[in-house]
Amino acid sequence: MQDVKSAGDLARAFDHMSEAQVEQPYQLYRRFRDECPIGRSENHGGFWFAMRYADVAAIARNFRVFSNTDGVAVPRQPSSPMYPLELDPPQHTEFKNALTPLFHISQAEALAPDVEAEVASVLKSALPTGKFDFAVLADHIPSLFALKVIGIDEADRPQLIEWVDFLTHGRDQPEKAAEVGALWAQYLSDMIARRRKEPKRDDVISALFETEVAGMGGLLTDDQVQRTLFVLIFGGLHTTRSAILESLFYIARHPETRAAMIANLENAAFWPLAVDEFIRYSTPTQILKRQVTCPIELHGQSLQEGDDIMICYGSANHDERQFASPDKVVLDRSPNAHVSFGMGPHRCIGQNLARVFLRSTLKQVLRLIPDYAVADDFVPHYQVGEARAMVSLPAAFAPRDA
Amino acid sequence: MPKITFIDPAGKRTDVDAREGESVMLAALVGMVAGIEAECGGACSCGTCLVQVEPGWREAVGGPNELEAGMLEVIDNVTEGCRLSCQIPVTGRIDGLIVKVAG
Repeated sequence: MQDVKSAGDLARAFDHMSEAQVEQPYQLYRRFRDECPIGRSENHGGFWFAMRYADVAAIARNFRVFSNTDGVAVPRQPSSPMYPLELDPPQHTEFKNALTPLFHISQAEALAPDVEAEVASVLKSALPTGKFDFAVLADHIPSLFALKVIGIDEADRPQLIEWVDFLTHGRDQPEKAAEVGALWAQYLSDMIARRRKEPKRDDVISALFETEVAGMGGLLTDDQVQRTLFVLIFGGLHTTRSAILESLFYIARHPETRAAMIANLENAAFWPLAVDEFIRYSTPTQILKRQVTCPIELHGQSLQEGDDIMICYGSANHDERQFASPDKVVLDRSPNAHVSFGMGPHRCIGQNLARVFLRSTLKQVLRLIPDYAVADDFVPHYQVGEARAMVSLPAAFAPRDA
Repeated sequence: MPKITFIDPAGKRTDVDAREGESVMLAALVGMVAGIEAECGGACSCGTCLVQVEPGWREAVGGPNELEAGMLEVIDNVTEGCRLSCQIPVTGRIDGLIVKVAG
């Protein structure tokens, strides 16, 4: 059936949190890029959206006109404001610079052998059965390693993950969201108070206790530490899960991609471009908000101070104006200035960790079960929320000894 | 507001009113200066905000910090006086600063 709705009608009805949109986002993005690059939706109190790469990149960079201080999630996240994400420069700059060394590439790379060993250990029990749901792995690896780097005790992780799951994917129930938001805030605040009295550990929490940000009043307070942990935990879990599952699914459906990856398993030079290409293609965080600080015109639309604008990373990363064959994974794509980690001052602080988690997982899966297959009739379903992640990805392979 | 002049790889000059406490890289983003990609957003981990500080300004700007020095060792087109602009804080001392964008 021909779609007779105008791009303007589609824009007014656009809802990034609707199930239909999250299941299949790319077709509509493309229509908007061509016909309505800056549009206005009537959902969630009304918001603008930007769909083309050039606009998304320009807005993400221009923190003076497009502010983060009103929060980046729509609907609003009960844990706001989260630091340093929901601050603007100069406060943001000093805060983020203080955190950057904790997530340096050398620290992230040092984890690679442990991540590979953990992937092998998770897969081990499945090997004789010939069946495995990759969602188990995609949940486990980021949860284990991101929460370990941050410094959340092992015993507390399952409960924490349950809360984060809800706050990422269940905010259509505002009362429950507020309740869960209060529960995990209480947990973090108790944990921070306890950790203050304990000996220093080699983790992000201990480092935060020693972090000084002059623009925030000096050494971070308990509340500021908590607001930093909010975003580190939100940012670290579902996004990586999403990239792992989307990549494994693409590989299952594209034999030539799988063959190239297997041929280059031990070729270290191959992986950086390949991993970033999967991250571009999957775009775990599809869309986030900025608030307009002064009147500005974009593609003939007049935006006013106080207006919300959603910048759509998912659409930008699939913009044919920026990337040739955007819907294909081109393993050696270069240059590849994708916006999956954002762009400008708020670019993801955990990007080095994310790359290590994804690379180690893909390599180890392809080493241990290079023949894995996903059923021909399998159609992925996605969780609605800040991270577009598959609910499950069941795979089958020839059974083998563990 | 300290003024910073960027000379992009094509030779075009852009004057930007920077704000104290921000970085020279952020000033370039606001001024839409060509050649400052700042892919990592100021995390000192991508090398795409490289600038060459004009000779007369090098003392006022100072040398690279430890994290930055490590990055400068692995970037290709580093010449004398080069800094990662995300690591240069804007202060009153650098009002009038001129840098060339390495591109």
